[in-house]
Amino acid sequence: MNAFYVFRLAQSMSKRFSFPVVAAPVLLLPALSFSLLCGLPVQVAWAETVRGRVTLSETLQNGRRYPGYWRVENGSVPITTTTNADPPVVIMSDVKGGSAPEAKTFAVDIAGFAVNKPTLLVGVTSVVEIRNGDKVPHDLSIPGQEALMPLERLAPGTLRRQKFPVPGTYEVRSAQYPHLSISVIVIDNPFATVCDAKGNFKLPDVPDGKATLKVWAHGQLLHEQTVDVQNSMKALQIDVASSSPVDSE
Amino acid sequence: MFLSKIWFILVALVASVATTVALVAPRSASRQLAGAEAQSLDRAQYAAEQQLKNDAIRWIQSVAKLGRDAVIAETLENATRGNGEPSVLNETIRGRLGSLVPDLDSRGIRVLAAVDGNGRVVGRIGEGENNRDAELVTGIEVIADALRGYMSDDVWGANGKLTRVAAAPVLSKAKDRVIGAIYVGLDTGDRMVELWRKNLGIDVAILLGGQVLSSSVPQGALGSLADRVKERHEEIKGARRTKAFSLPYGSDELLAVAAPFAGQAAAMGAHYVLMVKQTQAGGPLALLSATTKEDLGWAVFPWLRLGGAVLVMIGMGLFLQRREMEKPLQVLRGDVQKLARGEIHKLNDHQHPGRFGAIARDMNAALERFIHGDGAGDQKKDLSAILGDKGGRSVDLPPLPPLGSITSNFGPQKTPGGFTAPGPTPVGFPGSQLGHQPSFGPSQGAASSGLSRPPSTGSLPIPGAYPAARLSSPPMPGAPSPSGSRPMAPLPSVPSSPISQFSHTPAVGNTTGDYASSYSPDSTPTPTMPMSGPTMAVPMPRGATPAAPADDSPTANMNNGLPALHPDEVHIRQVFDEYMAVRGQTGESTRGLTLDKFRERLDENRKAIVLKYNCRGARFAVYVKDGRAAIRATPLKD
Repeated sequence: MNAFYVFRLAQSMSKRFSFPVVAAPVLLLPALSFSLLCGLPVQVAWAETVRGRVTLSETLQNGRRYPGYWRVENGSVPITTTTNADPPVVIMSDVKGGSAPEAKTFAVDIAGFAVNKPTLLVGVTSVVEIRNGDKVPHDLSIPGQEALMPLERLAPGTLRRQKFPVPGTYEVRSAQYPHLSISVIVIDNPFATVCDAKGNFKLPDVPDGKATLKVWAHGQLLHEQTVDVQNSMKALQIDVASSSPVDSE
Repeated sequence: MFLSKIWFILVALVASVATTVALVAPRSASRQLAGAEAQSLDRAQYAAEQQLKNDAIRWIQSVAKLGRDAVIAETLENATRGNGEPSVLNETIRGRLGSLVPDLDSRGIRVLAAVDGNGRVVGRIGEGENNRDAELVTGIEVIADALRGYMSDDVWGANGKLTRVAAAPVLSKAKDRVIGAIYVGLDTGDRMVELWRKNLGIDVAILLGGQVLSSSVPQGALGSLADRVKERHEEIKGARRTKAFSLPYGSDELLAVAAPFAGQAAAMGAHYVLMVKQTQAGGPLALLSATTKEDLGWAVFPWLRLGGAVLVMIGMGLFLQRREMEKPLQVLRGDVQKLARGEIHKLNDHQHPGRFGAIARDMNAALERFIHGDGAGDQKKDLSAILGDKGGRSVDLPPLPPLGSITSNFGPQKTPGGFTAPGPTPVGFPGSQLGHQPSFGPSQGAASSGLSRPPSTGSLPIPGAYPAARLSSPPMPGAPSPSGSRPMAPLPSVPSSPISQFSHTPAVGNTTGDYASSYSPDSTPTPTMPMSGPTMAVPMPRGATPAAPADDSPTANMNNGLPALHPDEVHIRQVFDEYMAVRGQTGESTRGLTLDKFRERLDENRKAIVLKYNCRGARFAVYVKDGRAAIRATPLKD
């Protein structure tokens, strides 16, 4: 038992029982007293909120995942900027503690040869339901991990469920239309989040110390850096200029 | 021999180097050929890539031009706004596209479609043109780009077909917004393969999803092509192409370069592969068999230099061979011939180089062994060796210092004049008898006798005791030269008659008997040696003066009162005359040389020969040796 867990316990209790978190120290004192009386080692650890912003390069922001030979502007009408339909995901790894997200079921619709949720951040044993709203069938699988999700044809209007029992990153892809893919990131700790449309992110309660921050976007791990989580740390500015994927562990 | 060997070694080295080059060069040539072919493939791949880009931009511009059509633009604007019946809009689009692009197949167009601003297909021609549903295609990247205002292209690999796609936005009349898009799908298969093969001059294959989609070569022979390309996935990912790699193609080898298509198809394993048949240089024979007439032309092949080099090599070899082999051999043969003719008595081994000198030495050693060996019998012997005084082959006669050398050779040659006639022949030359001839002594010189040497006997003065009748006898017809067949200087006056006479003389040993008693009528002379009958028929008692010849003899007046000479004396005088004549011819001095000294020396030699060979006498002959006069002795056998 250590102070961090006591704090997290207090925090969760405050959420569940709707009392302010500031009351945690009040609960912390008896816990510390109990630990000392029982002869248990007491370790004090503090947690911080990691904030930042992920800025993708213009190529990543407006580019195509599978570019052709040419892509030129029409010369008359300005190019329409797209909303960030597939925002990047920030993942803190090498961090101890925290509880895994709960397993849930996520619904993904395919329509117009596109998915409405290109990237999913799910807990272990979560289920992803894929519904084909197109008028053509889609042959979906996870390339390289056919044992987990073999290639199956998803007829128009039908649904396919896929469970992800092991943490990791997965890409469900259409065999006929490679651009049609769903990135499923299965995590076993709470230190991951999806950036908003502007790329901002916030990871609360990250224990102090060194950790690895990874950025996932466009179906691949694009950035990775080591951060020193501490009380005085500032908001991170993460610029992802290259589309070259980073080898993941 | 040394230079010849060196030359032959050099020629062998050159030949071995040439052979090595002939065997090794094809391999390096094959590598260079493969390198050149790989470079040609690289250039072809670059050209193919450029062609793909050119095609893409060309089709982008084509669909952009279609997008500027007023009917299409108005129809798409209505469709975007939701105005009008979808079927009517569909028919309008189809009709308009069909009128603008009537020849889809000839242009390789698989599909040509118009999409409204909401991303729904309003109408299409070509593949799926009967599908009237307003299909939503906003998720397709190239169409999404077009709706955003981009003109771009893509490559699709859906449904087992490879389709190059170009899309362009359709702008409103006011050109202030995008009201739709037009995209075209192009057949990328056999048509493109055939076009590339024609333009690039190489074989082409198209792969999609691990299968050969189309190929200019039989696909059955390209079974491992997809695997070979898949093995190079990382290389393709990094460089967007592979290096040239070999590909088995029946009994041949193909050299191939693979590169991915752009767009979505790249993620589906869509590649184009350019191939050329790998040229094998083969071995020297294969290279020779591939030689053409042009390769051997005067302007191409260095015939003159090659021929000159060959001639130089041959000439050099022949020169060295002649210098070191043939010429010394010729000289040696000449010397051996001289030896055989008796002109020389041994080979001068110092004149012969190398092993020829060794041969000469061996021959000399063989001659030495032959001469001094047992059973020499009637073989020629060196007089000096016989005499054993100097161990050499020639002996200078001490009493005849200016004479030079006297050589005594015993050989198989017959005695001059064929003196093998039976009958008692003198065993040796009794020097005492000769010495007892008062008329032979130098003290009884010609001056005291008042006789002079007959003109026919040479330059030596004849002592007064000379039997003038004998010496002056005319040569008998048919009588051989004393020197036999040997090249002898002509002796003017002492030819064969004395020899003939000598051959029929009684044995010298019979000093007590007369010549007539020792003469046997049965001992018929050889036909070629007719006797001088009158002379030989006169019996001459010991010590008696031979009878004077008949008065009708031409020299009768010269022999008056003189006893007949002993045949051996006649022989000695004849040899003496020949010797003097030869010395005169060879330019040697005859000063101090007298008949007595000459006789004395020959007597000594004769005695030595008689003792050594147990023969009955010896015959002497004059010949020229090394430019000097010499005397050869021949034992007379019984």
